[in-house]
Amino acid sequence: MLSRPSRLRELHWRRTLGRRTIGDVLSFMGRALVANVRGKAYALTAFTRMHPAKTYGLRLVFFLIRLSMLPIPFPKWGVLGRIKQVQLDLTQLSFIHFARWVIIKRGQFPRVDASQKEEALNYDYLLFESNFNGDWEKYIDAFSQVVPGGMDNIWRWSVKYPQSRPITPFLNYIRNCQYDTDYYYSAYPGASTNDVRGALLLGEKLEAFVRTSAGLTPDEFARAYQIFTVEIQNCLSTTGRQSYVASPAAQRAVAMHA
Amino acid sequence: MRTLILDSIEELQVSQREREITLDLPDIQSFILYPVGFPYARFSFFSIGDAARGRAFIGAVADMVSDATLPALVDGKPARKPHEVSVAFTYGGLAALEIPDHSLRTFPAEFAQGMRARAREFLADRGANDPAQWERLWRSDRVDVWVAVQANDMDELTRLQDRVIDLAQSNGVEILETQESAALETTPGAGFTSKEHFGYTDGIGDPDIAGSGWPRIRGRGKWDEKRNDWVSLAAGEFVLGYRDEAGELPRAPLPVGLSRNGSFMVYRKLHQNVAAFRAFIRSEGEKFPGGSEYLAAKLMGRWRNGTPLLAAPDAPAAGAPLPEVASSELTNFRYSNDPEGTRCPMGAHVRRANPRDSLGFHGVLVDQRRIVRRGMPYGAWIPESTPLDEVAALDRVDEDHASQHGVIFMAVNASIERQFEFVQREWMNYGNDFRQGNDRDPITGTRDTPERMVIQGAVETRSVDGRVTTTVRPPHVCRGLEQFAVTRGGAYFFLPGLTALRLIAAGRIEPA
Amino acid sequence: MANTADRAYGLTILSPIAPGLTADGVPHDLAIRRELLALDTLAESPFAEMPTTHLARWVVIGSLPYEGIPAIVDSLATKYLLFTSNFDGALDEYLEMMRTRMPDAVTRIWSHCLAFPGVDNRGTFANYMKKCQVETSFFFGAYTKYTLDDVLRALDAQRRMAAFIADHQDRQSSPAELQRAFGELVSTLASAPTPRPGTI
Repeated sequence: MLSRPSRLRELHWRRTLGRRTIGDVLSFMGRALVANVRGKAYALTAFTRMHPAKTYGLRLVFFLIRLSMLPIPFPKWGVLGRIKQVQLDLTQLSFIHFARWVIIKRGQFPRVDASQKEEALNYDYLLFESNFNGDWEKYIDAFSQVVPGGMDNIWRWSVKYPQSRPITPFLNYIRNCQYDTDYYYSAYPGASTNDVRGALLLGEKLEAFVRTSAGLTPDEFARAYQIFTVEIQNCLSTTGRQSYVASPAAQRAVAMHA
Repeated sequence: MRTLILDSIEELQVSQREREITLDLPDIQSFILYPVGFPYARFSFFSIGDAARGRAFIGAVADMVSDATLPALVDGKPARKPHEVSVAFTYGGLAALEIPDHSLRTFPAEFAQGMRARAREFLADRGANDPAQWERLWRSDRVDVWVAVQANDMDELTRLQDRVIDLAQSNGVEILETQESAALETTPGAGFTSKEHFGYTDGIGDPDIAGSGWPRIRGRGKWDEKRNDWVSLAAGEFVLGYRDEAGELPRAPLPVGLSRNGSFMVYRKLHQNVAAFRAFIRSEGEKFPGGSEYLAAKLMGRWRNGTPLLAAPDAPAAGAPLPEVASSELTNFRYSNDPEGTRCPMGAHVRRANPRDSLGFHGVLVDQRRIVRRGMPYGAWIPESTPLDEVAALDRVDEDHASQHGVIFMAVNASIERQFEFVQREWMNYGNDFRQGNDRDPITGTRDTPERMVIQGAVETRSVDGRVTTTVRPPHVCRGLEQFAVTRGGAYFFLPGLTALRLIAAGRIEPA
Repeated sequence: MANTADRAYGLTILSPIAPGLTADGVPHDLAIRRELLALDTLAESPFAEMPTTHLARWVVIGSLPYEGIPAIVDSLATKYLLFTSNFDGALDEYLEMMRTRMPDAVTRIWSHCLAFPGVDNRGTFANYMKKCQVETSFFFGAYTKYTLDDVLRALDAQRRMAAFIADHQDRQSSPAELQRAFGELVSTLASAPTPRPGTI
């Protein structure tokens, strides 16, 4: 009786690994055979496929996105206005360090010399590479909730793409085309996008304060300093990979953000 | 254009939700939807040996289980229920009762693994919270069934509890442990309060669930910008078989008859280090402009009498009583007029537990992370005048000293992973979404070494008689926050609907 | 240029992996994976020697995804090593830095790739990498106006500032003391070396 539930649990767990890729699970177990996580950063690599004709649609979308990034106040109801809103939303979501999309047409896979066999592919490929903070699912979830239109515009050209809402089929779709990272490097693993932006803002405010406070009397300075601390009060986030004093049992587990 | 159409559909759906959703109240356990607390409770844990006899026990208990039908109206308001009996099962319990394999496999992974297996990685239960240090009962995997008996008076409670125990004994079901719990009486003879051991009024703010039948209270649902008002949350966030906030029918175990009208419950026994908390409030309170009560309010996000900081953000004059608001206003606030945390700190407990509208994007990042809380304190209230070293002695917890006081934390949600675990891990034990870096919740955060919390300050410019004055309240960095709440154990449970309960008792889950 | 955004460059390299087996009888893609497993991480990573790399990764692409009928299965004639990097500045300088500051890691990994010319010659190395480069179609960064140096110094300043505020709050320093100490903090920040990548 005792063994039955635990065997089932194990089978169940393997079967429904679903929510995370093998890579995430193994990363958590500290066995870093694959490394999607580095400190607070998560590396997502996904290849989706596109019918060759549809690639032009996607190129148009990227062109429009680039246009929308020009410092022109587009009307909110227009196409460019909507795209700009997506961008603003993405920036406000504030958990992507860097992300990119790369269209690789089927004939464009690099060929370095004559001995290399030629590829004979039926589809064009879209690589999505992202460096973001936090939980894989939370990330995709947030995207799908916040910018479903934006996601759809980029991936609608991909083969058998479900809509970005409802979320479950979309999660499955991404999971199916995700590749685990073999090596991931971050120059600031203990800093999230929020941490970095807070720090950069702090730097700017500090510079300004140094200038404006030069030559003040001590009392004037003390007051100006107080006002300065209020200005930067949310730019002081604690950075560093979270670590715990590990009990012997806990030593085997890897912290969520380590 | 497409978005316009989608928006209109959304609009229709929202109005539909408010008017038409009716939940199958007679089939839903009262524990999920009944928002009124009881002063007395017993939580009993059982282990099933023989499956057939176990099912007989469940069948008999099922007769006692309370459903979510609204009580009759008295003076225009639903009367208080005299008692509530509830039952739930761990994954091991369902297996012990011989729920078929094919059905068990459809239960969510986190439920199947159980809390103990996930605590370190998914709940940040490290150090003093580590499962290796949990109470013996919770270190084993023996808990199969949870039966809760709650009542308004002791006689009623005893009667019902005795009956439950009798049923267990007569059906050969092993009684592992019974946890006692009662509302705290902080002033002898003055009756029960809703206080917990740190002195905060607790139990404010049950989510408004569409279709529950209970009247909406401002601030308990989600903020709807189009209507400029609060609306209820979709029932599917808390009860299986109904549409949730994402517009989906949440993934539910099969067969449908087993999961419909059910839910999942998280049970956690949390010891409270009252001495450490009081010492911190007193010593840091001396350094904190505004004093100890103001500090206590800043950590929680509410004054200790429950008044939200958003409603009363300033320190009262020395010796003045705590600010008060009408009870209908206890939850009626939003963070949109406090984006930098000057009134309610970014890392305050209630702000972390329910960020409301503070994460932007019309609340979509928050709406699916809500939980129903049904916590109750255990242990006796320690008067504030008790010397700290005596309190510290009562705080002692280890293999030989059981926890004397704390809170039994219970949360109900449709998805343990998406709701409870997420909040516990990402919002309570991490601060990034609030721009607070690695900082953890001041009251419940797990920590091995003392940590800090930033209490945001403000610059206020006022114009008085034509003269402009600027007052500055600088940010205050609290250092030396200890771990005030310690996990002593717990588990994940499945709370079936009443029909499902009968199905389980009858052993009638059809094999494929 | 779609590869860049302000000061940041998004480099995408897809290098064909050599077919056949290594001298140890191991397929080259597996050999790469093993090398990558053994590579140091965090502050000991070879990338930490490069003062411009924010985030970088290697992914071995052994096969292509398949979504189910009616889609057709695509098979790769060659396996590829995907290398992406988010760094500051121009490509030529970056490639040169890879060649001179992390030659060991570059050689160990890319020697398993087809027609890799080695790191001895600046020109041939750069040509090889550019041959394998794929143009980024759309590149997004949250703080692309800032370099890695800016970021690391800012993160360091963030820690020091937080500690300064807390210390002087507890000490209840006099205005004169505060002003003096602040002046010291500012000069410390100005003269402190940039923290090593991977340490924060």
